[in-house]
Amino acid sequence: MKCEHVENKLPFYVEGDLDAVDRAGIDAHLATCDACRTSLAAYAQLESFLSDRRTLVPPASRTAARVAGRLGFGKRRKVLRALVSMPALLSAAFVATGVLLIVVGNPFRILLDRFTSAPRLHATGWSEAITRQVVALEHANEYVLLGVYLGVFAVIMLTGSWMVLRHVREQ
Amino acid sequence: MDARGEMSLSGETDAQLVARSLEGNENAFRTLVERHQAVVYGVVRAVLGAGDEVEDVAQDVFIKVYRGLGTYRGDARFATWLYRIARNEAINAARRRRVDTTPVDDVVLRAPEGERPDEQYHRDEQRRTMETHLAQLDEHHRVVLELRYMSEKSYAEIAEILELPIGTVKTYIHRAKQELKRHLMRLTVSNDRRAKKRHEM
Repeated sequence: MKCEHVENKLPFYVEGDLDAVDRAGIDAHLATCDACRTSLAAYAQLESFLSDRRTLVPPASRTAARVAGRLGFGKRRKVLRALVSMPALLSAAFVATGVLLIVVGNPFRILLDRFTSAPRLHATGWSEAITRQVVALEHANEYVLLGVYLGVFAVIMLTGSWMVLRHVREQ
Repeated sequence: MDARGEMSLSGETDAQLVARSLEGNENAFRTLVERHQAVVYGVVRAVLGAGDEVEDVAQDVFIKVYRGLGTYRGDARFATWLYRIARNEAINAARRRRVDTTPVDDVVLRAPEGERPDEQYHRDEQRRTMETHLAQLDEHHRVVLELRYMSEKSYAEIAEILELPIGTVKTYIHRAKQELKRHLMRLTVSNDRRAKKRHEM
């Protein structure tokens, strides 16, 4: 084997990417050629330099966590969870109470009558004003009552969502 | 199932993971990132050279990939599609960066145990010089070298990612190594001379 031929095969020789025949030929040549041995030492040093490059890649889990963080993976789930928890539960409770009051209206009216009859005798100032409002509400129809409840539902939903989003943004 | 009670996705193909990601499965995309991050780092590093921004740009690539998952048609390998995005993103980052700032500080690697400070200094110097020579190679040569050594891909895998014949990949790596070896031998000769002078003094 000539030096030129060996020089071309040395990178593959160092990587162990040669068949047995080529390998044996190179081994025989290296035993008698100082120049090719120097060249082999340089290729081996280069191989070591290049192999160390794998340490420059950060751990895969770190990259995945940072990318997930930048894409808001965890946050999105948190927001979703928060949105369907407290504000939604409170709103559902309000709607349920409203429906109950419409469907089973009589006990509520009886209850209101009890409370509104006494203040009529003794009420003065602000308490009289409140009493009049309650009485007015008691005489109002079911649609007004439903409207009030839907309004409260909307306020709770909006306030709750705003609070959750603000909390997430602050994190 | 894994420790968190979630189905293990590591056995899924890239196409399956893409489909799951599109359905909103965040862990599927995490798995894709973990599987291909070394390729992205290799490509970005090959285009940009050393520097802190490599990590940021690599992350930008995955953000872009996630937002563009819907446009992945599956007619090319996912790694090939990813390679194209990574290369474009790195080229854009290189354009934004000033030409004269090619930091090579992160090339300093762990020193072997028992190495003297002067030996370590010369070793680091040699690495910095080699890194500079590597950065001066042709882009094709840099990419195949980084995919081979940084991303630890086989010749066949590199050929598939770059859509090149395997013979071409081997030729690129061969030429790149010959070029670097020439620089390394020159560097070794000059270091030997310097050491000899110090010894004589």
